Parts: sequence; structure tokens; C-alpha cells
Amino acid sequence: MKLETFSYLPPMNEALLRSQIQNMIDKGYAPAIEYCDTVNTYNSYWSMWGLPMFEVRDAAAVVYELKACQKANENSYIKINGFDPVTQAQAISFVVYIPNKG
Amino acid sequence: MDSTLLQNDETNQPPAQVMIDLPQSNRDRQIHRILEDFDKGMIGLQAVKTRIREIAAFLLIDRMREQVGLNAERPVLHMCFTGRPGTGKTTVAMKMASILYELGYIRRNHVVVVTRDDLVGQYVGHTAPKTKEVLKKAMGGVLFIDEAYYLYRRENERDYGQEAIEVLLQVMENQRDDLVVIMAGYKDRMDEFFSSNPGVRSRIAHHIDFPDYNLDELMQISDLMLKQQMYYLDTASIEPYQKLVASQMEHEHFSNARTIRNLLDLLKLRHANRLFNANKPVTKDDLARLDLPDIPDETLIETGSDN
Repeated sequence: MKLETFSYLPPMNEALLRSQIQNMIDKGYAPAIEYCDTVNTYNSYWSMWGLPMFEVRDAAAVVYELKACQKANENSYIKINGFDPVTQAQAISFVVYIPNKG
Repeated sequence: MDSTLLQNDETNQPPAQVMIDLPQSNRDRQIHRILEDFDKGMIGLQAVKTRIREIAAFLLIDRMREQVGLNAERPVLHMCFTGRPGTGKTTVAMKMASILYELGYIRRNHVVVVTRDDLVGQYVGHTAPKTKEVLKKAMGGVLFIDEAYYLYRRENERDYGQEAIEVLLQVMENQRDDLVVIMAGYKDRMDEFFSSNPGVRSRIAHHIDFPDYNLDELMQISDLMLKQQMYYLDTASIEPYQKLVASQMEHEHFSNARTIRNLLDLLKLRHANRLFNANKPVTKDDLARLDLPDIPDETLIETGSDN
């Protein structure tokens, strides 16, 4: 199943993921982690992992939370959203973890 | 990576023969600039300056070693600054952050200053998320924990501070690449803190002690502060001012440069009041000159300079 733009690209490694997240933070977006175990076209409701990270300035913190989320929800898809506080909307979204695929 | 570091481009040569020209490297020049700035901008603290210089040199050499493939392991960078209030711990931490940033050991040149209140929660289950929140905010830069010994309260076993220390230790160990922790506080109390938390001590690589300033250094600091604020003491009032500083040094709560700053603020206050009450036209010189009547009586400020 294809979810968002990045799913058409080869999988990211951690360094790439970090630079994507850093780019998001540098643009002023607040990164948020969401997870979901039943992913299908009809289910657009994902659970949030904690609050969006409004005050974070470095991607390391997001990766840290991401790993914590992964550990707690091994069978869930995990995605990262970038929330734009100006337009009050989600500006970026991509799946970073697919269970049993890495 | 800085390509100017390597004078010889042939990578197939054994490392021992690659020439690295120290003064040629940009990064090195930048470090020298920061250190020079540090030497000039801060009075006294000779031991601290030497230590910082050593650390900076070590990190620079380590970076070079890494480039020629000698050693890739990241050194432990967590530090502990001990000393009485106003001896420049926070200021040096800011400088240290710039040095680490220039050398690429931290990704962001920021220092997050926190105390116990920012890390420890109010009720069960509140502490860990709160500490993590602060750690996340500081990631990529430096976390400066002021008066770190307050995290541990011996008299109360169920104090939440212990939980904060555990989270902190975990991150200090596992996220070494992402965060540098600097702890600060009084020497004796920090020693006590470390003796009850040996895990913290062993994770800190550099312990630096900040000595108190002597009278001469305090006078230089006053001079520097006044210059920065575009004031000056007239020649007649220098001696009474020095006497005043000397009397303050005996005070129990004397906090070095911070007391000096408060003292000068008081002087400025009296200066403004004097000019205002005189109700006469003033010259530019009048506005900058601190006179004898502006020096307060030492009995007057016994409580006033206490912070």
C-alpha cells in the first residue's frame, strides 16, 4: 500500500530521516509522531504519540521519541507529521516505519 | 569535513605521512579566535582558561585524528563546573558551547539553562516526561543544569529528583552524540551529590573548579563592566570604591562578579539621583562620571547587595 509521497521512494536510512526531520523543524513546523496498526484506505485516524514537539530544535529528539514509540508499538505503522502553526494545518506527512519491513 | 585540513590529497598514503597543517585550517583559526576572545573577555580564572584550552586542543586534535582514520570514537564531553556564585560558570558554559559547536561536536550553538524545578515533577509519574521534555529541547546543543545537587535530596527517599537523575543518566549515556550536559554548583555540595550518585560522576569527563576572584581581579571586572556601560569612576573615588569592594568580600553572601554588578547598579542609581536632585544643566561628562558621593556607605548596602 502506498502512503504519501515518500512511499514511492526507496526506504530512508537514519541519516536521511534525520535530515528530513531537521528540514521540517528549520521550516518552523512542529513534528508529531502518529501510529496505527490497522492501516487501510478507510482508516485515516491514527493515534498520536505524545504531543507535537513544538519546542524541539534538533531532529535527534524526534528520533529519540520515534524509537520509544517503535518499542512500545512493534506492530504499528508509524508516521511523522509536520504541523504548520501559521496555516494551522499539517504540512508534511510521511510514514517512517512499517512493521516487519523496517 | 574541512578539506583544507588535509594538505596532501593522496588518500592512498599511509596516515603517518599525510601532512596536516595546524594553522592552515579554518576551523582551527575559528577556535583560536574564540579562545582569544575568552582570554581577553574574562578576567582571572587562569586555571579554568588553561583547562578549557586543553579541552579545546584535545577536541581539535581528535577531529584531525578522525580525519586521517586514527580514532573514530567520540570522547565523553559531559562536564561539571564547580565554584561559588558569580565566578563565571554560566558564561564559560556559553563559551564552551561555541567551541563545541565550531568543532562540530554539537549541531546547534544553544545552551538550555535549567534548575531542579524544570526537571522534577510535582506528583508521581510527572517527573520522567518533564525531564524528557527538557532533554528533548536541549538536544543538539548543551544542557546546563544549575545547582545540580538539588536534584538529589538525601533526607527524602521518595523524592522525585532520583527519577530525574535516572532519566538524565540514561540519556547522557545513550544519546552522547546528541547532547552535552554541563552541571554546575558549589564544590562541596557537588562532591556530596557525586558521592551519593557515583553513576553521575563516572559519566562526567571534565571537572573544572572555578576559584573566587581576588580584589585586584574584582577591580578589573568593575572596570570592564563600567567601560561596557560607558561609565567611569573619577580618580578620587577609585580608592573608596576599592575599600567598599574589599568590605563586601568579607560578606557571607558575597557572590563575586554578580555582587560587583549589583554594586555598580547601586552606584548608577545614586549617580542618577544626585544629578536629578541637583536640578542643574548637565554635561555629557557628568552623565558618564561616577563621583565620590555616589559611593554608598558600606553599612548602607549590608542588606542591599544581598541577592
